[in-house]
Amino acid sequence: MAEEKHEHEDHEADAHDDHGHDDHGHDDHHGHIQLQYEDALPIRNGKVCLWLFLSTEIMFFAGLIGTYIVLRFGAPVGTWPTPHDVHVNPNVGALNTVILIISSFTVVLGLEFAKADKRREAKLAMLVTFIFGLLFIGIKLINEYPAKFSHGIYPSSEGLIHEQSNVYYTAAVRDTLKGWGAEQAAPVAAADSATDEAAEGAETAPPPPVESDGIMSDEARSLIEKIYYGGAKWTEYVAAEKPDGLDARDTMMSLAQIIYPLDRNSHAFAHYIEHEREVIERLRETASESPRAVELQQLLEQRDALLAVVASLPKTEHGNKGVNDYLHEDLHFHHIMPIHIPSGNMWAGTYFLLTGFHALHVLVGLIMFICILLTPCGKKEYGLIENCGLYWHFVDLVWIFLFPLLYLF
Amino acid sequence: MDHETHDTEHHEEHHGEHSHLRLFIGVAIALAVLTGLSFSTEFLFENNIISKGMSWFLMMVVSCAKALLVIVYFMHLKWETNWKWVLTIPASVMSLFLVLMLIPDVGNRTNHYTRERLDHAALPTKPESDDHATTHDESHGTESDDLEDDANH
Amino acid sequence: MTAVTVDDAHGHGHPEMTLRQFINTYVFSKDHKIIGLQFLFTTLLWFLVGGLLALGIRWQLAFPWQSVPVIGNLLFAAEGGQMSPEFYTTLFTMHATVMIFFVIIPILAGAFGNYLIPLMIGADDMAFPTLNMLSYWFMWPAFFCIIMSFLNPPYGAGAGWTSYPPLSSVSEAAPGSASAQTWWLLAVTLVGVSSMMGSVNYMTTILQMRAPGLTMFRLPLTIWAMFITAILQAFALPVLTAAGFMQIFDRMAGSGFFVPEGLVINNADAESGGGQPLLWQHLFWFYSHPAVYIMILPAMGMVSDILACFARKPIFGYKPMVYSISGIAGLGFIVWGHHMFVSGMNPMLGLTFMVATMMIALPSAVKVFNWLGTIWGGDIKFTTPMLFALSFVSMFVIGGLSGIFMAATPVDIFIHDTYFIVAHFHYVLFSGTAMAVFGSIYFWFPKMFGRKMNETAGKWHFFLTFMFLNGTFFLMHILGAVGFPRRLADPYHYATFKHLLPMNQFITYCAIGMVASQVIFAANFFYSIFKGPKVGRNPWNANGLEWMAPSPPGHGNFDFQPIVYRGPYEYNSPEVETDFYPQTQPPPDGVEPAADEAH
Ligand SMILES: [Cu+2]
Repeated sequence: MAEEKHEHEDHEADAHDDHGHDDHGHDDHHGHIQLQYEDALPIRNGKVCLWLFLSTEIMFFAGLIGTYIVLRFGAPVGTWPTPHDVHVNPNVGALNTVILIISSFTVVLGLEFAKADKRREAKLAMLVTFIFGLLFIGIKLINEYPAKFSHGIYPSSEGLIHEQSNVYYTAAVRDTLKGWGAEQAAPVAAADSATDEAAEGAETAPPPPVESDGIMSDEARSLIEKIYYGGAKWTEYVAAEKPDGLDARDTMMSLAQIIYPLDRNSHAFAHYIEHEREVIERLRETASESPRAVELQQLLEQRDALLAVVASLPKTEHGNKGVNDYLHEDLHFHHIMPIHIPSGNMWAGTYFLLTGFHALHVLVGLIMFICILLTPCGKKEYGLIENCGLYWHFVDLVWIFLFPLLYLF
Repeated sequence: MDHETHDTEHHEEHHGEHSHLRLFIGVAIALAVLTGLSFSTEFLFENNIISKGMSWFLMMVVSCAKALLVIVYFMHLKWETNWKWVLTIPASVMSLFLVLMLIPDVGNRTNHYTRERLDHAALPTKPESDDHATTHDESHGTESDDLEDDANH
Repeated sequence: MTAVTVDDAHGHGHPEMTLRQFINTYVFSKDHKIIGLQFLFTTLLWFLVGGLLALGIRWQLAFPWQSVPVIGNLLFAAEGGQMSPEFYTTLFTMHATVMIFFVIIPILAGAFGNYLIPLMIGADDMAFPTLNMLSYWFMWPAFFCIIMSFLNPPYGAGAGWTSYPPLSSVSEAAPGSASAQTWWLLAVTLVGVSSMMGSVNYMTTILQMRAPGLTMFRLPLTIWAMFITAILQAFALPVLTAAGFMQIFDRMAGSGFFVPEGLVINNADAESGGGQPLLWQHLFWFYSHPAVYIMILPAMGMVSDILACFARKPIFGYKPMVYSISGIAGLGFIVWGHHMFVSGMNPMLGLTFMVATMMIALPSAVKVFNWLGTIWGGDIKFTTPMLFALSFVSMFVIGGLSGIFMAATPVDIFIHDTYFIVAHFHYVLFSGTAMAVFGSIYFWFPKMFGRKMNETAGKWHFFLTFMFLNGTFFLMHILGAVGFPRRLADPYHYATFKHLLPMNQFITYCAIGMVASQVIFAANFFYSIFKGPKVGRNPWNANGLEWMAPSPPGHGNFDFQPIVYRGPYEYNSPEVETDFYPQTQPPPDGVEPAADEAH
């Protein structure tokens, strides 16, 4: 009994020292007696505490992942964006998974080396872990997040994502283009002052320059004009003509599809464009009788021009490239038009919530590894390395679930 | 102070170091292979061999397997004493329970939407597909078809 | 087994103390006793703030739209000192927030948990003193945020302590949801971080640092309750933290987790949407129902200790007590939906939650009967702590029974959001927990300060508080039964409730009396710290380990190695002459030590 107690005391004292970094209180152990304790769990106090902390972390991520699951599967049927819709690249996600797996493995190696007091090897293993952790964060910050941001995909109450391609969406596109100076100081406005928009347009001349450096290529300017007249204004005109609300919605969907194509709408869009030829023909025949003849004439011309441009846009595996992407990538235009992604705001919210908190945990882990690398990484640091390792494995664990949920579902 | 704790000695008795290293390499490889498996379920779905729901299910099974490997080997739970159950079981049960209880209220909320509300929700196309019998057409039905299919099971 | 005494001569109390030493000892102290007292003093200060906020609510309900005394002309000069409806909303929100997050939870877990856990288990300190210190100092950013909430429009959060979206989620949508709401969320999240640090520390300490011989089933019920409370916090709080972050993002980044699609509030279009307001309610109550046990279990534990000590009898049914604490905690996790019966939740889910909630009555009743069994036939000493403990038991019965009313969905649909609910939770939280806290302060004060509080003043304090609290809260049952709504600045606007004004005025007089009676307590408390009669180690002749340490205990708590031979409730044991039998007293020769329980 006495011997057992003694061993236990050793173990206790050791536990305190092992965990010295967050346990300075025991520095001032002078001045009172060293108490002995009842036999308890055969593990260090630091490890008990860390496991308890991990349980709280499990609940934290359960709350977050649960939120994602119910919002994702509770979204109106068929609206949740596919990975391609929102520029999620499963290959990059898989790469990051493998990176975390390797780093988890090297932590285990480091722990084994530390146990055997092989300091150099242990340090090397921890360094590799640190580098892989850094790589994970790097891929997030250099590749993954910018891919979303550059397409306007981020949660925001004044953001570019529209849940529906309705009249509000069309108006937002029209206003954005107008803000870029898409409206010509053209005869259309003067001749057709009966319409409200035209009157409005006449008031807001001259158009402000958009690019802060004042450079907008002629190609970009002409494309923006085409979308303004042949896209936004055309859509508003045609939608207003259509008695059936669902038909009008298809028209507005076509505008959204031109700007930012979604896979799921590509069939419907192709079908709609076929069908639109007839509408255009009919309108063209009756254009002269319309009270807004001049405006309609211009809209028809620009519509034709826009559809021609869209048809000539580079092909992707899912159809044509969107005008937003074309302007951004090929014409080096820095701004983006509002986009239509059903449940897009919720997708962005949950995606950044989950990956953001995970990345935050990775960052904390990296700080821990820096602290470890500053120590000799010997047998003395076994407890420290073990605790950080457990934490790091937990971070890996969370990613194991986030990867399929966010990248493959 | 003597740092050769009772704890670590105990560890070393149980398992030699070399067999350990090999074990950990094996686990790491298994994890990588399982990651590939998650991908292949996606592939199976793309090629209409399994349904979307089935591919989700398989992915979650794979993820659970990976999680178990990490917990059991990397986090050393295989070699811990009985306290491991006291900690891990309540935590997993509680977290699962939380998610499950959210499903009827929040996860299934659109099940009770009216047709009209769905029509005017952010649906991609006209809701002509009222009869769900025609899902899974030859051209790997659109996302929405499959989702509706799952939701109605 | 020998206790190694290391240089006990120069322990503490150097007469010439530098400022730095003072700061290290009393401000950034890592000693659990100092941290406990820091928690105690700060929470008592907030208790005062919360009480004054409550008086504001009572003023409006008794004298609607009349000029508020003292502060009226200061705050509402333009309206002739009359409070605005928004201010009323702010008052009840902040009253609840302050009382729950800044008083009850930190005073139980922070103050008493910190002070008592190491002493009652025979440890020299917490397992992680630095973490312990941090858990106190993380309260200060929370204090800062809640004060900022008072200073930002609309001068205090106004979405209720439950912070239900969409009102709380859409920034600037309504007078109640301006930036004060964001500060409020930050404050609550920070309190959560502090509690979480505390809880892992408490669990580790209780598991790993018990004195030799102190098996889990020899722990005082206070410690059991603190242990279970820590588990509740560890598992429930992270979910609130997650939800809190989501709501902060909803407000600041427009993520819309809790904002339904196409929402328009107060002519403001919440652009982002697609989320679910019910999701917040689920996540919030997943924490906040267990939180009501966080707010009462430690009080139950402390009351058990006080009852056994002053009934001079062993606690009746120690193990059933332990199991019922665990049972309450376990069930407490699966009943959160009973707060949402009228939210339009899935009815099948509602039924499940109703049945689970009803089942909590079982372990709660076990506890009440065991307390009655403990005092039954006891040699009861009506000291001040005992009076408070007895009132806890009786008032808990009232609060518990009214809880069963609202657990039943059909009844709850009628009484939801009426004063019946207000009566219920004040019976549990004020008449229950707060009275237990007063009792515990009287009980452990001698240990904390080495002096005793004045008994006569204590009894006056008890009788006045007890009378006034019943005058205040009991009538609220009647108000609720006739449908008097809570959270409404002017219910008399509806003719149905006009006749209830006199009753509300009576309640307000009682509430003022109740707050005034606390002056006796404050005076007694501060006077006794300096001038109370000095006492020895064990003024109440109690059994617990904490009474074996010096009063107040020095750094490291024990001046001897405590070895435990039995549980803490061996009063009037036949084995010894005295009517108490301390845990550390070796058994007399010839008597076998009590059979050891399972480890
Ligand atoms: Cu509840």
